[in-house]
Amino acid sequence: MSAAAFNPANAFRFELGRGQITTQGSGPRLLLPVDSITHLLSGLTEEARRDFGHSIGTELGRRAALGLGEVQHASPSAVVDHLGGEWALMGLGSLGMELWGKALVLTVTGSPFGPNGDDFVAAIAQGAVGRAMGRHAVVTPIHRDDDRVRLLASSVRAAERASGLLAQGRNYVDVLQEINRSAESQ
Amino acid sequence: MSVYSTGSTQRVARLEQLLERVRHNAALPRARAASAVVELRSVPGSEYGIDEDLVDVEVEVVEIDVDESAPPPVPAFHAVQSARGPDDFSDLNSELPDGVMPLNDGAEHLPVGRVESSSPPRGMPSVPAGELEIEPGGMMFGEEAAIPLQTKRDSQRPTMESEPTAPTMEQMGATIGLEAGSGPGPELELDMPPLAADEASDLELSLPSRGFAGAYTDDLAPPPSAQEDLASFDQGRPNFANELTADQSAQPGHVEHSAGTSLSPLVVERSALSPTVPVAEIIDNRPREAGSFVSLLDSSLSLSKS
Repeated sequence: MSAAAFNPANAFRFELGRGQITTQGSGPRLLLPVDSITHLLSGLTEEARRDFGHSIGTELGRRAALGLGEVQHASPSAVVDHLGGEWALMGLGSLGMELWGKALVLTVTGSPFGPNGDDFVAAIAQGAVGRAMGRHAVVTPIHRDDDRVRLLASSVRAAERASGLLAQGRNYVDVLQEINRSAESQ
Repeated sequence: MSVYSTGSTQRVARLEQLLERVRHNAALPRARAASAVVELRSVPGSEYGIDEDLVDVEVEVVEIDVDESAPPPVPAFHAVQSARGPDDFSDLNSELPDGVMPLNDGAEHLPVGRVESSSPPRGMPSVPAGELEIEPGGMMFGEEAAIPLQTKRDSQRPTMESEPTAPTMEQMGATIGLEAGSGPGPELELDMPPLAADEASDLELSLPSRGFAGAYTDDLAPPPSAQEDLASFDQGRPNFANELTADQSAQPGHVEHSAGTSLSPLVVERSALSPTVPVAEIIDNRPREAGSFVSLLDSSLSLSKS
């Protein structure tokens, strides 16, 4: 059974009298300037930034899982629909998905944090996928073009291998081929 | 009072006749002018309130009748006496219209008045007394221009000529009718030639009616250049269909195959969001989409595990 389409209607509730912003099924939210968040991230350690991103993604994944219903049988389209919907409601850009062989790549277009925030975006995606799908996946940025970042969702080992290959200057496509090839050889 | 009530019709008719005569005389050519001051004094003790009042009436005599056969003039005093005898006054009073004060009311044997020639106004020559003649019944109060004083020409007496400084008839209150001009009528000359009938009709425009104030009619024809203007406007902007195609190809969500040597990734991207429609939409029309997202994730997680 396919999940219902993502419905962002009345996703937010602005209570001007109380000065609060709430979402359905969630607590109060904040509308913060991106520059403030960027400035905050610049002062954090890598681990702290990852944890900060995970916390955001966890909440995002929880809401996406509520929309998806039976997550185990949710189609890739439904997951991208709901997960991407929640992603967009938080102003994090447009979420997409690519499948390179067996490698699953998430794409984020229009991230408000820019290239310097790709690690933070990857942490958010990791927390969202982990919370929504109930899987511990390591999300690693493998490619960046003008406005889009590609995030590989893999195991820890595959992520370390991809990072090693990218550090060698390999193309992200080659990295993905290498990962798939090594998996076939096993 | 019975004097005013009886014979009023006759008095009116007679007054009108006198007025006509005055007008007729005023219209005649003026050969010479003379002036005289006639002082009228009413009967003392009269009840009409003009006792002892002297009424100076300046008269410019404009009528000169040249009548050689007329009898020689009489002195003014005698003329007055003859004209203003008690009998004459009774006759005169009976002819007075309403509102005109009689000169003698109940005192017929008293002196009724005198007519004297006084010194003329400054700038006017004196008039010999013998030239004045008062017609019986013609002297009344309240009538300035209708005082029927006439002077008769006496060739043996010096002729009185009006001087330029003498007051005119208008200054003396007389009504003088102007004669019609004998010259050609005035004409207005315009620099513009007269318009023809059809040209004049072109200049006529009808004002819009009140019902069309601030409104318009939808049956008006478009201007003749509307089609050309629309065509030129369309040429200045890209074709909408081409625009749409370009936009669709640029939108995320299209299934693309990367240029990988051996891999052709399945690209699943979200479509553009709209505040009134679902925020995200998966565009993945490939029929070979197998399994669930979890299975795909598990496959990806299985990479390089060993």
